[in-house]
Amino acid sequence: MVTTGVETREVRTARGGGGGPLNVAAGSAWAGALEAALDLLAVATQDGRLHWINAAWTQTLGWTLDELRSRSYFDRLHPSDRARTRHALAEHAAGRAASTVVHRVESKAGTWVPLVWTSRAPSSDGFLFWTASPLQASKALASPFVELAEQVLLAGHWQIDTWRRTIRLTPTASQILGVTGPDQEMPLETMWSQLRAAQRPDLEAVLRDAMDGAALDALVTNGREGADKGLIRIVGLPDDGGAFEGPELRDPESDAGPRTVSGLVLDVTAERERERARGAREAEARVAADRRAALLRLSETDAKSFSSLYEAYSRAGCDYTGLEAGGVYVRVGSGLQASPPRNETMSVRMRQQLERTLVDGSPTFWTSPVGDGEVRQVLLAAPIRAQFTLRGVLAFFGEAPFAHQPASDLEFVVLAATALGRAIETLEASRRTSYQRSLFEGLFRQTPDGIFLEDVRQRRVLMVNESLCRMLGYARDEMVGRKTGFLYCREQDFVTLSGAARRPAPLELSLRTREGAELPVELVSTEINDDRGQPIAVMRHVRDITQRQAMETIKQEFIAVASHELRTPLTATLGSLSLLKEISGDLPDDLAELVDLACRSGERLRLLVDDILDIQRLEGGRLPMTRVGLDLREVADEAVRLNASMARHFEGEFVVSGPSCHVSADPRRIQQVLTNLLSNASKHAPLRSRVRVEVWVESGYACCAVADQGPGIPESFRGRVFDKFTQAEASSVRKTSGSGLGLAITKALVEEHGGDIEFECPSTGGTTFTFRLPLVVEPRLHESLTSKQQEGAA
Amino acid sequence: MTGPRVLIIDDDEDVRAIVRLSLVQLGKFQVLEAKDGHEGVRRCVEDRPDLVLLDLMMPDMDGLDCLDEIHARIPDAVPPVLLLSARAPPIERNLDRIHSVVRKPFDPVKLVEVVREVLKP
Repeated sequence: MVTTGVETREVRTARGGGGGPLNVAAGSAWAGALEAALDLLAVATQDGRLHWINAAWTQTLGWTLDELRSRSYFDRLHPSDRARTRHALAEHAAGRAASTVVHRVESKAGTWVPLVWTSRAPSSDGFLFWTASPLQASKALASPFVELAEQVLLAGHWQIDTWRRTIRLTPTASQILGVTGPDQEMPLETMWSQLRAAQRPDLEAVLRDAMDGAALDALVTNGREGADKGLIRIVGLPDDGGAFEGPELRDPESDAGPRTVSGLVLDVTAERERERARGAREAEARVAADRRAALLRLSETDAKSFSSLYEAYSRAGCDYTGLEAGGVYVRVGSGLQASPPRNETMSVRMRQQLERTLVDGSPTFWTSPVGDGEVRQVLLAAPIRAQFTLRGVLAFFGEAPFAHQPASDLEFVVLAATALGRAIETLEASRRTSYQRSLFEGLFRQTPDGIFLEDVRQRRVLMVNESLCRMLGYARDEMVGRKTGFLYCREQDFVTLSGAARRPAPLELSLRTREGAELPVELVSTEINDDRGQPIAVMRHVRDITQRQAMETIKQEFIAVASHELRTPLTATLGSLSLLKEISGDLPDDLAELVDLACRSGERLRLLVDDILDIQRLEGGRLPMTRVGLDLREVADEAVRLNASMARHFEGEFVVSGPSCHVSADPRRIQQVLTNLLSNASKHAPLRSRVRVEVWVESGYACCAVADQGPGIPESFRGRVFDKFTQAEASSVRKTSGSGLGLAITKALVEEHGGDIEFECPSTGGTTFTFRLPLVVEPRLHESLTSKQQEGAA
Repeated sequence: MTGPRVLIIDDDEDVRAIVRLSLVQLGKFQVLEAKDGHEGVRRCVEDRPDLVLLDLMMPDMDGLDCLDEIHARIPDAVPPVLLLSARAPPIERNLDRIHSVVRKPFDPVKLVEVVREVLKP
């Protein structure tokens, strides 16, 4: 028995022993090659039982070997393919020429997989060798050709002998046409009666037409009921004479026309289904492609606003939803507002649904439960997000037929809303960027100050703004790329500036204009670093200070003139008062007091004018100084002597102590310093107290301290002691008088001599001002000092 | 008895007045007045004062120009000159032609002392 034999073989196969074809599967040297073959290879018996398969079966169909073997191969075939396959297998088993069958096998996934299948003559022990390859795979390689081949392979053949009035059908043709007697010749009358019995007059009519020599390519239904009626395609072929063996038979009555008519008959139901599916797929693909294109246009649109985005969307998308109204709704607070605003035709319930989209942040597909006649209310809405925030909702709404299933359009609305969000992000980013860029460009270009960028290594001009070009009279091209040395009037400035990037303090220097003139400027340098903090360029900020200098000059002149103009009337006033006292003899007390008062006030005015002039000159560096070697102690003694009257104000005394200290200074100015300090001290000294003036030498400096025993300087005022026009008390409560310039002048004078000044207010009370001047060590100055002293002695 | 004659050249009337009053009241001088540089030169040439008090800053012709002019007109008979100045800027030229500088405002008593000192035989 075959079955037993198979089982025996199976055992042998499992044992891996013995000769015969199964050794192939049992692990011989080329078993691996078969196993790995792309074609489906199998060892089977005539009843359709599989005994060995290679991996390609599982790859193609999804079934495992055990699963495939659990049932007959025929059970897995498409019902309409079974008979043909059985027939072919029987032929093979009988040892006739192998033919190829295309049949459909059920895959594990439940689809029909068409295989181009054939088997080979059985081995001595009853096994058949099958090869098969998936039709899809070969189709993918050469689709139109293979498709035709598939048709032919699946087709049945028919041949009508018009002379003998017989018809011969291959089994496939018999099966498709639904007549019995496969693969045998039958009288046409039998055929017709069978067709009539089967109520297929249409088939008879087609075949009769073919016999009459009409060109034939007819489609008829295969008789199945329902919407998915099958189709039979009957094709007439020119007589090739070789399809059937036999004597050449001719119509005795007429030589005209074919003696035989043959052709194909195909069940094209499956094909039509495939075509329909393919058509649907293609239509789907077309829609998808259109949508993609629309979305692409949408995201690439030069979107200026929600409205233009909506316009772009309308152009691209409205067709898909089939909904009449729609638009972008912008988030306003917790609600939504149409953009652009328009008259709403939205129902209240729909409106609520729309707002819910905003709350949920998820797409909404809503239809009214009941419709008006054939239509119902539909809303499709998707949130628009940009930069992770909900900006609004893209919504489509209106009436849609019941049959219409707009839920699938929701996907598109979601995609469109996403594209909108992306477009908004792009737009905002570009706005931000261009805003920042125009800000910086404007800043660079339009600032009245000149700016140029210099590269760190070569010190060439990288960038230059228009203000600097204008300032110096160059065209931009004349400056860019040049080494920056040409800009400076003094080479030293160029050299100094190489290290000046880290010092942001402004420098005053002169730049050379294109005409060769000198332009006084203030220059600030800033280093520009890359991401890693490495300097890449230096930005130099240039401010034209011509005007400032001119203003400075004007100010100086004004003050000079003003002080002159003040002095002239003071000359007359003070002169008159002095003369009055001189020539009037003894005035009555009250009148004398008035004259004294006028004198004192006039004197204060004179001092004030002098002070203003001094501070002005000191700041402009134009106070003439005549430095000579002098002894600070001597100057202190002299100052105390000259200002003895001040001590009378507080009924106290000035006391000088300390050694000789030789400095190089303008005696008149140091005298002024001491006078100011004594004046300051006497204003604050308590009654009958002592103001000490001490002179000493300390680490290269001649020091001099003026200490009073007054109340000290208020904490709040200490930072402003040396400022101009400042006094510890507001003028209204001031008991002391002065211009408020004394200490400012004092500090400037001391610094002009290369010294410094400071003050301290010890907790024990009083204030001590200490100034230091560099001690003179050069013999030349000592000499001049000595000679001066000798002169004085002489 | 007539005292020495002093010419005051100053554009400011009040200053001329205080100078006149000081010199007359305290020193018994004769005082001649000129209200600007041109008049000053003329009176200097015509009246030959014993001493000139010359204001530095005057409109049109300032003190130093005036001094030049006097030297040009009567090179051998220039009287001693005291410069009256409200400023203390460095005087760039004619320093050798000035006896001394009196700063405004000045004390009338000191002015008279200085004048007396200069005219001392």
